[in-house]
Amino acid sequence: MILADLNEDCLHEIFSCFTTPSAELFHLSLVCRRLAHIVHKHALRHIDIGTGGLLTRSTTAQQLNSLLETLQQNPCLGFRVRSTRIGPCSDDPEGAAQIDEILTYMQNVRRLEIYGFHHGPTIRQSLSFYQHNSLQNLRHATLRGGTMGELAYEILQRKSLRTFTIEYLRLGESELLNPTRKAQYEPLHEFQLSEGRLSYDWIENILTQRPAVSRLTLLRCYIGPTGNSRDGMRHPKDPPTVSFSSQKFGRSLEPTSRFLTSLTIRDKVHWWDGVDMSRMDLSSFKCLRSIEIPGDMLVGYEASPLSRDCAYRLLPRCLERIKLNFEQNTSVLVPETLESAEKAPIDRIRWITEILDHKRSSYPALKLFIAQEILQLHRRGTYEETKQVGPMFYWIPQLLAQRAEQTAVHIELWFRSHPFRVQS
Amino acid sequence: MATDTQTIRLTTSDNVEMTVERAVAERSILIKNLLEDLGGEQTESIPVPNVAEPVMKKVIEWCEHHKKDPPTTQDDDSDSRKKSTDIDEWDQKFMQVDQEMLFEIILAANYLDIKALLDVGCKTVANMIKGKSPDEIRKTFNIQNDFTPEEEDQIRRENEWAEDR
Repeated sequence: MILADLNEDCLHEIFSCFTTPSAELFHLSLVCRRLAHIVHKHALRHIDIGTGGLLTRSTTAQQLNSLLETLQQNPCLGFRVRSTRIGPCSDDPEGAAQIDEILTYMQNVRRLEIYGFHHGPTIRQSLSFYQHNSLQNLRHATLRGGTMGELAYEILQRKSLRTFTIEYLRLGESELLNPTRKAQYEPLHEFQLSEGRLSYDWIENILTQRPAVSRLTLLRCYIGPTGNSRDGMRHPKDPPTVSFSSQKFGRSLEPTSRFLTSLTIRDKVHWWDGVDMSRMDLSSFKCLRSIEIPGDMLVGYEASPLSRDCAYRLLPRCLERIKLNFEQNTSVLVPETLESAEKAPIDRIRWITEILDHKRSSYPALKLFIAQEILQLHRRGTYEETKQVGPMFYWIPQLLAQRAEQTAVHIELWFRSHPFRVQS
Repeated sequence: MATDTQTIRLTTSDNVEMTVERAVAERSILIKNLLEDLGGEQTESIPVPNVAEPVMKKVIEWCEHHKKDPPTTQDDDSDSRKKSTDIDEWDQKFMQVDQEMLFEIILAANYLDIKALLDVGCKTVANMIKGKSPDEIRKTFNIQNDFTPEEEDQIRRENEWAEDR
């Protein structure tokens, strides 16, 4: 038996070990007819075009020409391209025009990543692919870096779009939310936003002004600082510039309540203690199974007038997993004084036991409950936990262990090492 | 009830019967599904008509070594498949076999639906291809060049854009 005798499935598996384009695939296509026939399907699986930078190697003018010629001679090859990544080419108008033409051949691209374009009008002029019928099957789009608000808007029109990730992008909000165009919005199934300047207002606007979000199944938002300083970044110690309402934000999510299965909201702007007097109510969500939200959207701090009782009433019936992230030095579990530490630890965790006690009647599928302190949220939504983490409160496991066993819910509590912790 | 030491019997294509620990055999999704469908204790030998004894021995050796590995998740999105040709040291040694056996292992892993073994086999072949010219690939795998000069020229032109990547 020789390599060429392997069945097509196995050869595909072998060839998928190589990135595309690659010299190996090119060389394999020159070995024999059988391999060439199979390699052909892989060679154009992914196309990476750009003028260099951190993310990709440069595409030379000759390579662009060659690719364009190949596609012109054999347009059906463009149909094989499933994924493409496009880097900046703003200093080369001829190259941009070629890329634009190349993209018109890619009728079947499912995954698109565009990065590093810093000039909205330029990109609109140079990359006008969205005006053609190409990308009609686009499923996953990522815009990274640069100023591509208008392009983001155009991508949001794709009927086929399932996930849309925006990172480090300066969105032209007025372009993206142009109300005259909102009738064209189409269903979007997953929407991930991670950028330092996103605000809750922005998310609310997207959700309320884009009717197609009603079919959203996954919403993942990483909220950054917003405010009125000159660079748009608010110092954590500054007072909140807008009065935030968890309840109002929860209501803005309601258009998604029929299909949303996973909700993740991470933020580093939770400084509205004493400002926001409301809690988020997700009880009307029909199939929301996984929730990760800032804890104080649901539970009040020690000194906060916001209630921490009856949180179970705010949770959806299908809930399987809930994760609450609290800001550093939260007093939601950790007492503020030694005196209060010694008093009524059961009261302090009553909101958790309530959630567990209502499992059977309110959300029978609940399996996992996590509450943790977050030291820092990074721009891309990853976070650092408090350095000295650990399930520190020995009295809590004791008190909760029995409830956890009775209700079959796995509980994790990750809070800082606290000098006032009560030893068992 | 299935226990860790429960065994099953497999009959290979060359009619050899092999006794295998059930947990080991269940690395194969094909066999696992079959056992689940049959239910209860399996007393009859399960035929494996596409795999001969020497290959099956190798496959079982691999499954035994990896029996405690977490099950691989089925991910249909080929774009998210790990594009790497890194192979674990034990697996590298395991795959030091002649080409005939290597391809037989790949075919068996594909038939028995052992994704991780298929990955190791494919990565081994991919590593043998890496850095080689078309001629060297032909020599390594004993393949005849059946292209006409015109066909070869056509392929070169079509792939020029991807060269030196």
